[in-house]
Parts: sequence; C-alpha cells; structure tokens
Amino acid sequence: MKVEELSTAELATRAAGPGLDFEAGPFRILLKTRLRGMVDVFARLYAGFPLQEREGIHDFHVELIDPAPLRRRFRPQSHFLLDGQAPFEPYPLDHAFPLFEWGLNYAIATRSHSWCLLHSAVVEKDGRALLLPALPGSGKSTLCAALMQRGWRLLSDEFGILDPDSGLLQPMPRPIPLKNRSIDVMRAFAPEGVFGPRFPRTRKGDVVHLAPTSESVARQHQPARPGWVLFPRYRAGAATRITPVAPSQAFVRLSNNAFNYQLGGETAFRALAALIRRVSCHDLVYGDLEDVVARIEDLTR
Amino acid sequence: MNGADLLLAVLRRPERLGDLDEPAWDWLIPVARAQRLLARFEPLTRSLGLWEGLPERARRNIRGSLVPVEYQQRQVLREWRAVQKALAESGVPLVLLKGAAYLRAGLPPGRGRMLSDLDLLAPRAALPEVERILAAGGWRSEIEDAYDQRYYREWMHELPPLRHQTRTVEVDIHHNLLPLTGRYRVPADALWEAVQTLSSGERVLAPADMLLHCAAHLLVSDELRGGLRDLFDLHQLYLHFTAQENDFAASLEKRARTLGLGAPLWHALSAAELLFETPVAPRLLDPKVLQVPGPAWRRNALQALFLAVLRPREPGEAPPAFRQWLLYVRSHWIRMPPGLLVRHLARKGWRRRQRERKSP
Amino acid sequence: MAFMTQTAPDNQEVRRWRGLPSDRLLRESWDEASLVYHRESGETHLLGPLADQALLLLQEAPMSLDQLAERLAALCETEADVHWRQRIETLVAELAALELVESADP
Repeated sequence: MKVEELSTAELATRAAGPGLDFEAGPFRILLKTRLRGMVDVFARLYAGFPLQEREGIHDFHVELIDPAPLRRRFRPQSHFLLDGQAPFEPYPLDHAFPLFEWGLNYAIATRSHSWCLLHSAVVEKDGRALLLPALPGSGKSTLCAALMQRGWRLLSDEFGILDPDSGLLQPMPRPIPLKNRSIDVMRAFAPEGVFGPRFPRTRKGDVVHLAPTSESVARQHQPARPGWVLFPRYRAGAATRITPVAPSQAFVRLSNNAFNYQLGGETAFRALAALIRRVSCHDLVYGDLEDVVARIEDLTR
Repeated sequence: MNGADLLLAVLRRPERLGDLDEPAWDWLIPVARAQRLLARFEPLTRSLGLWEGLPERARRNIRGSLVPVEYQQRQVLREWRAVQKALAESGVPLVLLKGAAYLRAGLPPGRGRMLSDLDLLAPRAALPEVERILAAGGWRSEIEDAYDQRYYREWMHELPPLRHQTRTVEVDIHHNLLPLTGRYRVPADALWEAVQTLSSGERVLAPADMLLHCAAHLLVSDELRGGLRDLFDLHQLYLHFTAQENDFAASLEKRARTLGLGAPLWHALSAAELLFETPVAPRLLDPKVLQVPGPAWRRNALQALFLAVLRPREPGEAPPAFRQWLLYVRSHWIRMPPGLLVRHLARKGWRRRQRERKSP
Repeated sequence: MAFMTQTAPDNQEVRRWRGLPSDRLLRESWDEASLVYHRESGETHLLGPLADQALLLLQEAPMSLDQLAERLAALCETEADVHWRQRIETLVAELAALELVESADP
C-alpha cells in the first residue's frame, strides 16, 4: 500500500499511533508525529512510497513533536527526536518538515558507516550512475533535480551511498530541497514537477521540496554501477564547460568531501580507489540548466 | 519484553542474540546503541558462530556502529605508539590502563569497545619529567583554566589531559587509580609490584588489579552515564579471569584488601551479579569479607542508587538521579569540600552541555 | 648545506632509508600521482611522481640518500648535482615525517 492510497486523515491517525513505516532505499524509517501539517506535506512529497506492513527492524525511529503545546501562542516549536533523544535545537512548528528531512540526513550521515558515504548527488541513466559532488556554489541539488525531471533516475540528491563490497551505488530517493532562487528556476524548468509548500526563512533560506519521480521511487532498491563524476560549479551567465580531472585529483576531492572517509579506514580507501577506476571524471562549469542538461546527455551517451 | 530487558538478557547469555526475531532487534538496537554496547554484538556473535545468521539490517547497524569504534581504536593505538616513542629514551615505565589495556592484552572487553582516551599509569616521581618530554614532543595541556589545572593536580591523581597538537586523542597520565584526597587510598607501589608484561613488552595491570580498577572507576567516576558498558567490561573480565586462573576469586579478595578497594568491588560485583548474572563467588558478595564499611542501610542505599543509575532505559525515558549520584560520589568518595564541589559540578555540567548541542 | 662533506659530524651520508613494506602501506597508482594509505595512522597521502618513485625504490631495498639521488636522477634523465641531492633530501625528510619511510639502521 502506497502513501497516496491513504487519506491524509488515515495517515495522520497512523502517524499519531504506530507511526508511518516506510523505506528510503536501504533505510527503513518509522516516523511518528502528531503534527498535522507535517503529515500533509509528507503525504504530498512521499506519495509514491510504499508503507511497510510487516513488522521489522527500523534503522531510524524518528519523532517530530511539539514539546510544549501550551506554548503555542508564544513560540510554537517542533523537535526532531531520534531514538527518543533530541540532537538539535528545535525549529519553528511550521518548519517541521524541513527539520525532518535535515534531521534524517544527519542521522544517516552519522550512523550509516557500513557504507562509504560520499557527499554527492547521484542520478542514473541506462544503467550507469552520474555523481555530482557537493561543494558550496555547486548548485548540485538544482542540477540533480533538473536531470531527474528530464528523465534521469534519482538515486539521491545528497548521499552517494557506496557499497564497499559490490562497488555499486545504493539509491535513496527522497524529496530534493530547493533553496531561494533555485525554487523559481526549477518551477520554470519543470512545471510538471511535484513541488511541496514553501517554507520561508528557514536557517538555509526559503526552501521548497521537489518530490522524487515515481520511477525513482519504484526503483529505489536497484543499485547502479558508477559511470561518471562531474564536479559541478554554477556561475550565472557562464557557458557550459566540461574539462577532464585527473583520477588522483578526483580521489582527493571525493575523499575530502565524503561524510565518513576517515572513519572507514582501508575499506574506504580501497572502495574509493575502485570507484575512481570505473568512472570518468570531469569539472563542469555551467550557467544555464537547459544547456548543461543537453551537454551532460551528450557526454554520457 | 522491552529493549532494556532484552539488552540485559542478551548480555547475560549472548547466544540469545541468535534467537531474536526482527521485532526484538528493533527494540534492542536503540537501547544497545545508547549504552554504547551495539558494536560489541559483532565480536560476541562471531565467537559463537552466529554473526552470519543475524538479520541483514541488524548486521548493518551493528557494523555501522563498529566502524567508528575501530577507527578510534586505531587512533588511540597510534597515540600510544607515539607516546612510547617519545618516552623511550627516558626509561620511564608506563602501564596501559582500561580499554587500551584490554585491547592490547587481547581480553574480551577490548573487542568492539569504544576507546575514548589513552589512559596510562606512570610513577608519581616521574610525572614532571614525563610532562616535560611530552610538551617538548608537541603535546599540549587541554586545560587552560587555572582552576581546572589545580583540580587535576591537587585533587585528582593525574596530569591534566594532554593532546598532541596534530592529533585528536586525549592522553591521561595517572600516578594512581583513584584521586589523592579520596576515601580510598590505593598504594601505588603495590600496583607496580604486580604489573605484568605482555609478549609485546607493553605493561598492563595484574588481572585482579585490572578488575579492581574497573570497579573503582565505576564507583568513583563522574561519567556514570553509560556505566552499564563499564559494568559489562567487569563482567567479561570476571568470566575470563576465573576461567584462566585457579581460584581467581581468592586472589581477587586478597588483592582487594591490599589495595583497599573492597567496597567498590562489592558494589560492582553485586551489581554485575544482579544485572548480568555474573557467577560471582559467594564470598565476594559478602560485605564483611570485603570489609565494606557500615552501616548496612547506608551501603544498601548507595547500592540502590548505583543500580538505578546503571540500569538501561528505554529510548526517551528520563535519566534518573544522575545529579544525586554525582553529589554522592564527589562528597563521599572524593571528599571534595562542598563549595568546591558545587562549583566544580556546575562547570563540568555547563561544558558538557556546550559540547553536546548541535544544529542540523 | 653540508650534504656530502666527509667532515660532517653525523653519519648522514651512510644512513640508509627504507620504505614501509606493503603490508603496512596500501598504494593505488595512476599516471600522474599515487595515493598511499598508511594503515597504522589511518592517513591517506597523495604522492607526486618523484615522491612515489622514491618510495618504490626504498621499498625495493634500503639505500642511502646518495644512492637514492643517483637512482632517481637516472630515472628522470637528469644530473645528480647538489640541487638535485638537496631536493631528494627534502623529499625523504617529508616522506619520513609522514611515516612512509623509516631509518633502515637501528
């Protein structure tokens, strides 16, 4: 049964009781909340996700709560709880959904060390995955969203989940957060996309989430072979330029950027080296989404 | 059954880990993680041949927890090698303590155990020289505050923690197992007399002393959050040494007397027996044998408080009684003057809260 | 800088160096550089071609700075003059600081 097959009232009842039980790629999450606004947004952005019915092990037990409902008048808050503990400061109540998304990313980044976690968007076409490492100014989320809306499968906008044993990248498609100017850019680029509500003035600016395409969700358990690494850099007005990057340089940049390279010791070293040997690495400068998408299509044909 | 009960059940009999269904694992994993015991499930089940049969998601979570443990173990051992190298020429003998000792001596509690710092024992007279050599080698005192410096040197039994300027591991050099001003004065000479040397040449405490140190640390430490992990170390040490030595219980009893640590041993072994069903020799559960000072009501009250603090809780359950415990520890065991005590606790609490708050 | 003088008080000219064996170092090589993982420290290092070649030679067999400078000069088709030797000395000092090479003599 998918999320979209339940009414929001039914979802809210479940969320307030046993919880919303769903998988995002390799992770199984149990989300409990009484915050109705949160459930409504979840219903829209996780619409295509199957809900788990059997009992099982959850990787993350998450709660979004309003710790002091009586304070509602003054400064209503939402707390993110992981295993009953609040690792962060609370957010305003109506920012519960972005808090959930970032909190879940934090939980994944700090716990999932059986994988090598690269800080990267990953998309896939024709069986080969394209990694877009995250760096300030990269615009990777916007670029990743654009590729997804032009038919690429989304593995993740944030995590390159590398299995050190198989060398494959694990999908974990989730809503893509778009910030500030990117919001309008993407609405114009892909008006058919499923956009969530605008959350104004969060700690990261204005945020709107774009739901993963139904194909991305449907294939969320199909890993992909790595094919390319493109280090993106957005520069307004720039012409698209793709230049090769030496493998050892790519290794250094990816390892510096990864969430858990140091922790992983020699497993991480070998896994990353193996990845580099399988991919073709480039720097990518771009200023126009339509053009860069077309150029990427050419490169990866 | 809930996660806390499950945790105690599997720690008592690790073979039960092979029988758990997925819902049981779902209860168990968060509690084990909170108690810093999740990573240990891998070595425990591997030694029983059960690891491969565990559910995949359980293995992934356990392995996810083990990766940072192994990383930190590498870092602490690297630090140990650097300290040994720096002090090699001086001839100052060093004894490995706690987690690093378990690891180097190949003892069961070392496997899958997170090491935070490098704890070493050095002769008291050698401390100034050690401090000087390490400072020359790039180690810096972590403690800048004059109050804290004094706290360490006068009240505690160690140099203020050191950290090398290019690395992250904290190095704690002790000259005794317990603070100077405490109720329990351990004769350091007795420790040195019994020190054992591994085939690698590294020194560790004698088995009984290692266990007594574990017990003493549990009772006297102000980091009792997560004390269940240290109690489990004690349980594993007890099982291991009684299997290895004839009449380990008798030498433990004798040694407790020599070091004056009968009371901490009694409290710790009684707690282990209750929570883990450690097969403690009956004599070691007798407060008279271990010379636990009376009256009975006071030691029983302390034991009740100790158990309340050690018991694992469900995720989200409020932690009990830590503050009372701390006050008791500081005033009873360490005998810090009350004014100093309250200020000290306030400062430590503040610093810990600063470290723990994050934003996403 | 007295690199080769016979009157130098220390034994620098006879001191030999050796690279850590491959069970203590992992290497991944590409044309332009190599990456080396030092198991004991958990550190990863990027080595340019000259450093990488120096490490390889020292892993094969221990040798003195002089011998290393000669071998590398031959491989690079250059002359082992004073500047070259200076450069190699600095390089070996850096490799030693990274714990990738160590003194071969006790």
